[in-house]
Amino acid sequence: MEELIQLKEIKKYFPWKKHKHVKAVDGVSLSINKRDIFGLVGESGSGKTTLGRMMIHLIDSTSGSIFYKGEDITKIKKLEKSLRRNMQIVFQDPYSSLHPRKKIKDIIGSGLRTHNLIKSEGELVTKIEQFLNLVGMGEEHLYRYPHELSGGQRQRVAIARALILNPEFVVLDEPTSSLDVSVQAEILNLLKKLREGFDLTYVFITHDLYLARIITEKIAIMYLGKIMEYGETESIFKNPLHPYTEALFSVIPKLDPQKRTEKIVLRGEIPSPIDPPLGCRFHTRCAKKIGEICEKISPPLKEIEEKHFVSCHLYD
Amino acid sequence: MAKENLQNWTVSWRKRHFSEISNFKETVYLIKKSPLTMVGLAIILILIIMAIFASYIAPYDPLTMNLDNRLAPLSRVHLLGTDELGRDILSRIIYGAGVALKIVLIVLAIDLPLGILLGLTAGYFGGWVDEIIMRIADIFMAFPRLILAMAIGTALGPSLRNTVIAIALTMWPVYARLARGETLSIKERTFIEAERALGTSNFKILVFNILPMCISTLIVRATLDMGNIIRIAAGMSFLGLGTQPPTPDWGLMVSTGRNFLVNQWWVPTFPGFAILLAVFGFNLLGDGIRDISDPHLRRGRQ
Amino acid sequence: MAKEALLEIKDLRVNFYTYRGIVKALNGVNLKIYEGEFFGLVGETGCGKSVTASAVLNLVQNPGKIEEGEILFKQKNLLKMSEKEIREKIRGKEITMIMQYPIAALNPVINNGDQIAEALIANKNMNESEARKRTIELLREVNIPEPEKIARQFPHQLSGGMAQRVMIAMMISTEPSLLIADEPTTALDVSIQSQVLNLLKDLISKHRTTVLLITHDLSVVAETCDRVGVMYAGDMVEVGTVDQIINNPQHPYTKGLIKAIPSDRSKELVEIRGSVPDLVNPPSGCRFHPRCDYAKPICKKEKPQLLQIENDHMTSCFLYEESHNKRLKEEYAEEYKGGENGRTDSA
Repeated sequence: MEELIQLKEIKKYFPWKKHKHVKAVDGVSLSINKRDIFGLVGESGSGKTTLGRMMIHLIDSTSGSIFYKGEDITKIKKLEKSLRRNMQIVFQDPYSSLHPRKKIKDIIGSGLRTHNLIKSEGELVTKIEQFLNLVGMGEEHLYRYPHELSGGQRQRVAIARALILNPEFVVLDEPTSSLDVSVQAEILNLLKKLREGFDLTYVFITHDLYLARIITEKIAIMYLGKIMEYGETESIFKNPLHPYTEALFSVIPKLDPQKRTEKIVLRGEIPSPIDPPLGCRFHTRCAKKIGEICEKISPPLKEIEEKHFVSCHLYD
Repeated sequence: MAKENLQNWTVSWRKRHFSEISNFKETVYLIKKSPLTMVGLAIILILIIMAIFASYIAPYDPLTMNLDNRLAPLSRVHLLGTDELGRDILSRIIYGAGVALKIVLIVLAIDLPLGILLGLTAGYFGGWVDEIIMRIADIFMAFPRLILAMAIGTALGPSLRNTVIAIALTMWPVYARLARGETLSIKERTFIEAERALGTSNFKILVFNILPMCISTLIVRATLDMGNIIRIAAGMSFLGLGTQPPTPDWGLMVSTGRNFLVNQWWVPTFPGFAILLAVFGFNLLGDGIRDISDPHLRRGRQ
Repeated sequence: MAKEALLEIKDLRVNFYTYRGIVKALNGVNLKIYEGEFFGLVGETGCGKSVTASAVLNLVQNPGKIEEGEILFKQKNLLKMSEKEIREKIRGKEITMIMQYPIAALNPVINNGDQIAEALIANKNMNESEARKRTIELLREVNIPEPEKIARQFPHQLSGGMAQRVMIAMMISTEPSLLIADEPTTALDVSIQSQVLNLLKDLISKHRTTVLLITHDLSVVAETCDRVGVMYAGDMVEVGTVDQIINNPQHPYTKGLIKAIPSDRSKELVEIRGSVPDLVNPPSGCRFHPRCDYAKPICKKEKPQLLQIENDHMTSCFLYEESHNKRLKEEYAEEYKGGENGRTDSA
């Protein structure tokens, strides 16, 4: 399994007023292999969105390294074109990720022009038509504007736009959260199909654990900028080790009443990433808190079972 | 064979521009729905026709003096009478339209591009670039126009050209501010982030992605300002700082004619009306365009 | 023994008159909600669930218009009441509503405590000190820690979950009979969502408030509600208890919906073919027929009525007309023993 991306203690702090920072990503290390479907799961403030954008060099990092095929991209100010092509993204909101005054043809074609992948207008149109068909749309949509399309169709356009550059690696930032449930299924199945066809590596960002279970093979559970648990999706679902993961599983609404266990109460609100708790980020709400060690020392990521890592003092 | 090709091309052109065509139809529909906008549009069209076809429409040459027939009242020969030098007032008003429109066009031709360039740059790049541009803008905006015109007039001699310069210098900051404001809000939008992910250069992002979204606000503002420009220019000419005789400028005509207001009322009054009508027309049109551009009225526009 | 429904909606038809044409948003909706129950109204965007809620409070905005139907609240038809009566007695008093973005619904320049106190003074004729005291009690009841501090704060200082609880406090201050919650937890994180939903459940048991929960999330409904109504494109397609709907869904749309959502029991997501129809030109007959794998010729021609399948479980689908009619005939035959016995019905 070839390693594609490796993150080493990557941090992103956004300046906030004077002398303060929003610690969006606070020391994340993980690796993603080629052809993985890697899930980043978390609630608001977890840093998953920021991390996704950092992986494709859309946001620069405060400290730490991101290695793409061995090259540290955090050291590069502006990616060279061949690298930029290889890392693409599909955004969450199909209503704002497409330019409202541009036609679908120009929205999808923008990347092709920038990277000189086509030689003539005719070739451009042919290629775009080809990709529109691939994502389940027709030629008649070429000359339409985004406001004339439905949410599902816009998201398909966004997917075509990303994939037409033949990237290696695509970040999917909650690609179906803004869509209706029945459309969600279509888009997700489309994404799965395209991954096979194009041999892609996906980083799938979501807050929906059950969705992550269906789509991803590996998963990282994030909380306040740090990874709480990470490993193969099935083993995390079968055996959640981190108290946060356990609590999440217990409070997610389920269809089957038998699956509903005693709810682990998550006290209080999610703390602010400007002043995150010291030590283990989760200790203020943890039902299994040990004591002072949780308040002072941030637990390191440890491999507890094969390919299953946890950051929790319970496993020291 | 050729006819068939033409037909095919027409059909395909219509298909490719379907959205623009229905947008245009909607615009026309909305204009027709607003009688005031139609009035404004009509007035402006009349002005434009007067400006372009002045030599065909005007009964007399605007500069020809006839001292035997000074201050003649309205008659069939001179529909609006003659002024203190015997010149036909109607003809001078018709030619005056061209003078007024020329001023408006030149001011906007300078200010819009300048404002857009500086505003877009300041908004997109921020930092010290933004600071410098905005402070310069502040300085120019702080100048009272009349004082500036007087200064330029004193330094370079009063003329039409200097009126234009004075107005342009004090109005460009408005457009720069507007462009900067729009840029600030647009540059954070997701579709701009998407362009960066695709590798689009900053220049292309500014020109092809941000600019098209600012254009409508700027054009609406420009249209609303047209009335202002005419009014200000007329004011300057009235004070003798702008256009100089014998150019048929409405403000100048009011100025030189004001001594005759009591007994030969037609001399200053008709040029005054012309100014009034022009400003009114531009204001109506400007309001109408602003309302029509309102995204809430238009379906689906963001 | 038929229980009297607290809220009964009969054949509600609502149209929206837009530039594109007439949007037939509600196509004859029928609904019964009983006192003390937690009723979930489920459907995707455009199914008409929010319009139904607005109609109950007679808040359907221009260009929408309630064309026909009855909305009986405690047996009185709300649609026949004057605006004055509704404003004085119903809205914000007997029937209250909380919505998806609570911070937007709260007045940004008045502090949280004052907003609730104002409502109490206006509606319950309290004086200022009584109202303030009751405000703190209400905030405590909705599990807000340090209620005095929160009361002094302003809405923008609250997190989503807290703001929703402040909203709930305000909306139960008048002790309403019916609380409508329109997607109250959609914008909240999962960990906060469960807190708010549990709060709503507690309110029912403590105050006998009836709750109508509107959501697109079937799992939320499964965990909190007693009975469920599933809507599709302006029609009520299935109604039943949570157990009936989740474990024995009858309508093809309900079945499709359950298979399409990611849940604890799904291994994959199965699409429902086709897309939600344009309600300016909705499909004829049953609005779901173009996407239905079981569609028969009659589905295109006539609109199916809500028919009972088992106790409290109803669906509007022609698949069940046959078995429904058969059952009726059997019941009829049993009541009149002898007589037409032995006659078999032809298909």
